[in-house]
Amino acid sequence: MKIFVSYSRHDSARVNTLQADLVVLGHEVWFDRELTGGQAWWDEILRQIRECELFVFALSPRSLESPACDREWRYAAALGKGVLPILIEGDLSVGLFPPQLAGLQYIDYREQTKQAALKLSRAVEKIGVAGPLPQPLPPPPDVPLSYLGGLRETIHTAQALSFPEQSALVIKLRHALHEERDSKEVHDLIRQFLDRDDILARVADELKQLQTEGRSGPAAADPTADRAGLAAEPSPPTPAADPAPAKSASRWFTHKFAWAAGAALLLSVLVSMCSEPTTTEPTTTAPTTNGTSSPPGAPATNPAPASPAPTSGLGSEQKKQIAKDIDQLLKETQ
Amino acid sequence: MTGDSYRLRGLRITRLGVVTAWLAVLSPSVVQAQAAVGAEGADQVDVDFENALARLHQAAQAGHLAARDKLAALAHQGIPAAQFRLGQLHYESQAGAGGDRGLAEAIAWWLKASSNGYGRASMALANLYDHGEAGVAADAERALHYYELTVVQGWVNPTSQTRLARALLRNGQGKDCTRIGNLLRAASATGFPEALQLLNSDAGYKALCGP
Repeated sequence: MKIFVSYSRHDSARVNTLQADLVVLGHEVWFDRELTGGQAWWDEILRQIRECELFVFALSPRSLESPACDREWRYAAALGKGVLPILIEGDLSVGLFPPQLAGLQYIDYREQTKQAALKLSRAVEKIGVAGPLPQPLPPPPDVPLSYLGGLRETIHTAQALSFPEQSALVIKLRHALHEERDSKEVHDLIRQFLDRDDILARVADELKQLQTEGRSGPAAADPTADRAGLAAEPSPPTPAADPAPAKSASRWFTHKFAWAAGAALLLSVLVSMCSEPTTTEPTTTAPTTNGTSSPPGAPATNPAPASPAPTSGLGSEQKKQIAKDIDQLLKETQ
Repeated sequence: MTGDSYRLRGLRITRLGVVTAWLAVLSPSVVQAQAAVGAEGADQVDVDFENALARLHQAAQAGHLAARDKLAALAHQGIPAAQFRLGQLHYESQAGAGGDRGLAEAIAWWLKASSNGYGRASMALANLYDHGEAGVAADAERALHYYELTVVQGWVNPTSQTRLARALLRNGQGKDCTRIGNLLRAASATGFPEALQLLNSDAGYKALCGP
């Protein structure tokens, strides 16, 4: 019998044993061992589900939380495949199962004994071969975000990524971090994303925060998590340990430094004299447009953003000119 | 002290040395202060620009056609703040003539502004999908997407932080308790009631993440 096994990558060791036992029982087992991703790989998984005769869901706390597993077993159920839940790890209450799964008899395979293997064999035979596929086929589920091929392609594209494109990638990576299958790959992608030449400062800040969250959150348990972080900051250069040269050079240093400091001071005074004066007019606040006619964003009631909003690459002079034009227009209309 | 110099642990320090040491301490501060003034100046330009658009929006709201045309022209030039304001104007007009068309136009302009990186527009879209309206079905997943975008785009304030936290809790991402907690604590620190309520009520943050 051709069996598809849906599982969480965190349970690989136990799934390998389960697969070996199923093969010994005379079945052909398929499960995705590859770490590649993307639509093509997801399509292959869905094809394998369509072609399998029995769908095995390797139950564990991780697999129950996995959106990829969730989509796989629901698709199999929609196709009319026999679904056999096999508990491989953890103490799971049936009450916590999704309703459709809770109605199915599951095999406890946590203790992979001979007795458990016999139960497994009987359960597989009992479910039997699935009937023909329904026509029309149910709609295929979308590729889970944790299947990162698309993200990888975008991150490695030679073309410059705009701010919206970079922002969208950050959001996808954040969601992908929640999908446990590829947490290490997500961290790798974040690091590669940070290496891009065109990475924008705000996006880089978000990515670094993601890395920190990843390390302090659930991914911290992952032994590979350390590799996923930023490279360690280089330690600051240590001052000369030998005091003697410093002492003998102190007089020279004092005089040279006096000139340097004086020059720096003079320069800063000059810069301040040459710079454009800052306005002393009180800042008017944006008029509120809240109330019943306000959009749900109620933006005017919000405090100012932490950083200025982008204005499509307008320079300061252009903004000043536009503001001036607006004021001129408003004067004329009054 | 001897003549114009001091002695400290065997190191001869001249008065010139003392003066230059002070200069050394002061000059970086002066340079930093100068840099801060420069940055503040740039921020001030942005504030003035935003305020000018807000006044234009207000005039357009009041029915000044020239103001409306100017706002539309700026939006068509691709200026995200103007796109957002024009969207808002359409949104406000839906109660009057135009009806649903006003909402559709509003969404179209907010989408443009949002895709140009304007966080306030993303926030407006997020709230729209969060609550739903006549003609727009509530969509939790989409709302979460736009709340995330709002924060990524730099529109960070107690409202956006709290709404994002709430959307994350609602979308079953309670396991990301560290992030949700950080968002709510940051918003609560400003005394924002919605954040305090979500952080402290038994049905909010505690229900998913514990006390």
